[in-house]
Amino acid sequence: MAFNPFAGLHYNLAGGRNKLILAAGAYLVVMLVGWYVAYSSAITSFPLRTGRPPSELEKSAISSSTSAGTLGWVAGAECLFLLLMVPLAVRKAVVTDYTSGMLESHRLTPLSGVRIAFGYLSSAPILAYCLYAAAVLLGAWLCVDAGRLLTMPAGVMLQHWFGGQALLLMMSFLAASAALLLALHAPGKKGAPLLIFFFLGGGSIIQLVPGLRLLLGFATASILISVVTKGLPSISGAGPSLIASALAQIAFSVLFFAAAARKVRVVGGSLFGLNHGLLLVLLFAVVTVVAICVMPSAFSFGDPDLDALSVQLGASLAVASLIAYAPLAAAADQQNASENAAAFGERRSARSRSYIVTIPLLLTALMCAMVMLGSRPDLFVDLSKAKAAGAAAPGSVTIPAGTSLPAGYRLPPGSVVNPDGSITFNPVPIAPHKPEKLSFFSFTGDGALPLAILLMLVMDIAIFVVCMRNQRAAVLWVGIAYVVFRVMPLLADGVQEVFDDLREDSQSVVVTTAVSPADGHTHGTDDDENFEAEAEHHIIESAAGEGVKNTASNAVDAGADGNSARRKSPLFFGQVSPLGTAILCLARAGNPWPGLAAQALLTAAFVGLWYRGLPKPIPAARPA
Amino acid sequence: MSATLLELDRVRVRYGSFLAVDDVTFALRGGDLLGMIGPNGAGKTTTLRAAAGLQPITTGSVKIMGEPIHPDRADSRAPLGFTPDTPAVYETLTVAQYLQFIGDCYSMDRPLIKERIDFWLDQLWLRDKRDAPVKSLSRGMRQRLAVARTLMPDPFVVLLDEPAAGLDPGGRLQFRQLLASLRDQGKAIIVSSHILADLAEYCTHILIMERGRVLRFGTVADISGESDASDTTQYAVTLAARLGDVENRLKSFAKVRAVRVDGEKLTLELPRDKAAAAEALKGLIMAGLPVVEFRPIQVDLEQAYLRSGIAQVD
Repeated sequence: MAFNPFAGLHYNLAGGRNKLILAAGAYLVVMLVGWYVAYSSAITSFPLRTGRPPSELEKSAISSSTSAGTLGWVAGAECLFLLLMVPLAVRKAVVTDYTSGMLESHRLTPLSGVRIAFGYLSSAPILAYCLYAAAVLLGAWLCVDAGRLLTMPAGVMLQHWFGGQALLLMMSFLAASAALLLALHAPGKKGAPLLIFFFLGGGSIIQLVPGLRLLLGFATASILISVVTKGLPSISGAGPSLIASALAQIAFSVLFFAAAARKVRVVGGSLFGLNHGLLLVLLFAVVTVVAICVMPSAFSFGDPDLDALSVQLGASLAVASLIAYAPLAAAADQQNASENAAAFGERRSARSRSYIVTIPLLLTALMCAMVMLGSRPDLFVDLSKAKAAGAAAPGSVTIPAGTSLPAGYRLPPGSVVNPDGSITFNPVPIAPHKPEKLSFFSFTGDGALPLAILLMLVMDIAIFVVCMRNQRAAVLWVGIAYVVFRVMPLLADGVQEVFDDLREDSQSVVVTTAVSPADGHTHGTDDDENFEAEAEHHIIESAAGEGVKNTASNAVDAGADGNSARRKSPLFFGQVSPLGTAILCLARAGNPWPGLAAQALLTAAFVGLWYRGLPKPIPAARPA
Repeated sequence: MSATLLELDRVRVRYGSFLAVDDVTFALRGGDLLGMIGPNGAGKTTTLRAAAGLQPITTGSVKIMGEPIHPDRADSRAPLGFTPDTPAVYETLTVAQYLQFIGDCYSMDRPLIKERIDFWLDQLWLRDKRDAPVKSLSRGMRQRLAVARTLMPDPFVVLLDEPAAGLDPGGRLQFRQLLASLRDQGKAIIVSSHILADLAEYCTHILIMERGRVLRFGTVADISGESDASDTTQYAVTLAARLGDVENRLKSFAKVRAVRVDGEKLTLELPRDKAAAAEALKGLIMAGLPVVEFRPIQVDLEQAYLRSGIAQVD
């Protein structure tokens, strides 16, 4: 109690000992009744299947298999308790305290941020922990058949059972500390729990971003289902990737916890402090490189000819450039605060003068290092892609950095420039969810286009989110991204077909739009030679170097007689990201830099427009 | 002279484009009790929250006992107690459990917590509600519980936002006594309230706000005096008996600008300077009038507020 006054508080709020015991007891009863029903139905049905009653040995076998099945359900329930109930309980406690004003009451006390954050994590989910404790004991009993009254052992070694518990607890700590941080940052918003859909959504995002795969690889729906049906994975079978994953989870959990501890006491301002933000980017870079080092086979998807790493590095870079908003926003906040303090006679940190220059440079260096260290030549089918990825890294980070820092600086304290955790994960699903689906991006042959497209998408999205200063942007974006996440892979199939066709055509024609002189309607013309003869062709020259002859309008509205796959023009992706349309056309000329430069200009123009609407900061009146 | 306990220096708070608090500056010493008044939306609550370090300020500085508030330092706000206008409580806890939790948060020993719970429940007339769930308390009782929470750790600076809003007349009277007692203990206190008559009774200072700006700040006497825009002061004179023709006799006095007679009670309008009052009193006595009382008539706080030029009146 002395260290954690929240323990007594949440114990009382949860209704005290009786209610907790009742809940845990009810859970145990349900599981045991479930076990008994499954066992007796198996015994009862045995004569129907075999025409004779089961022998004692067969009864033992049925008992053992029923226990194993029950153990799967117990493990599944544990996942539910630790990965869902715990984060939700933490969030609910913070939101309740925020609504009632008790969060401010905590802030007035001399409790450190660490103690308050620890209190939320350790005490608010007390009911979930009680249920989990009951489940662990039940599972252990099923493993070792401690009672030898009802059951035979489930066939799972006890050390594997408890090893699995350690994994689950680590994941729970990660989920709970992330939930705590998000709840403290935006307690009035209800969108954060929607993040769970991304973790449970099949792991498509995780496939694209090696660092996320290492960090969250155990939290996909398939793993959870596997846990439910087959029990928790054992440590012994997983090897170095499991250990690296566990270490990454611990590192991120501690970082989120530290950021939450800061956020408990600091009202308003950025999601992360400057140091925490920098550490976040650093950790992500390290995890990305480690993931590529310890799990190289995971990124070829079993196909040695699949050049997936360039796409994954591009995606990692995109995610990193989004994460970079955290230290950038924190730097802006800190500079604002230190300038105000200086104006009112407090000592000013010398570092703050150079934030606007040093932080973007530092972040650029971090991301360049990530791409360079992750570009293992032995993992590339086409080495030029590694070079292109490395070359584009500085541009990719300096553009958002250059626009976001002054934007953040101009905002008054209390306004939000911070990316919520959600946007960290959301932009990537815009791209097709599997690397092989992304291969059409590389049709120019220089390997730079995938990166350019990913970057332009991410930048648009980032700016979009930043511009929607209202925190509802996060909720909205989760919804949009979820739809796109599901829809885009389907579309990608069609687009793939388009490019397969196009590769077989001349190098110069990529998108052809035809207007029938007879009816004025627009038609797709992939295989209709007669129609093609009448059509007016809009040709974009490919990267072969003939230059852009014309710019195609999109072919989405092609007439009913056009090929359906052909209608899914690559410019569809440009339409997803309006600014990206122009970039796509430029980038297709073979050189990514005009595209990136145009993106920078458009981004700057976009931010500039938004900028004009901002209130001007009040200059601090300096003491006479 | 007591040390400055709370100091706000050119504090500005913005919500987006809205400037909620604009250039608020004042300082309080131990024993000062500041009444903060103003229409709804004047910025009183935001100012109090900024003073408590709960509202990020756009520019300016807030110092408690000479030290700027650093939100990330746990002990930065420890000398400060703040009661919001809506009491922050845990509904399902009992009164004692709630205060026990607060005591734990301030790392008090169990015997000290028990002692303080007993003391403040007694002081705030909640003794018989000790084991009642918070959700069963009336609004006034919750308000008193919130004040008990604020005073549990014995803060040096006490900020109370509308503390008497839910109190009945008896409760208000007792609450005034409590505030006066806290003031006499040397605490610096700010009370935001719309009950001006109460403020006039126990406050040492008054701050009038409108649209985020400070319109008036000073002692109660100063504020009351400032509100009278004329260059005269009214004095109440009570005579031992009713006299005839007293009005004409008084009008002959050089300094008297106007006279009103109501039986044995007279009202004189004199120039603002105190020498004029002394001369008038001397004249009354020299004229043989049986004066039993001679005092300036203070413009009350309500009038001061109404005359301060505030457009909206609650």
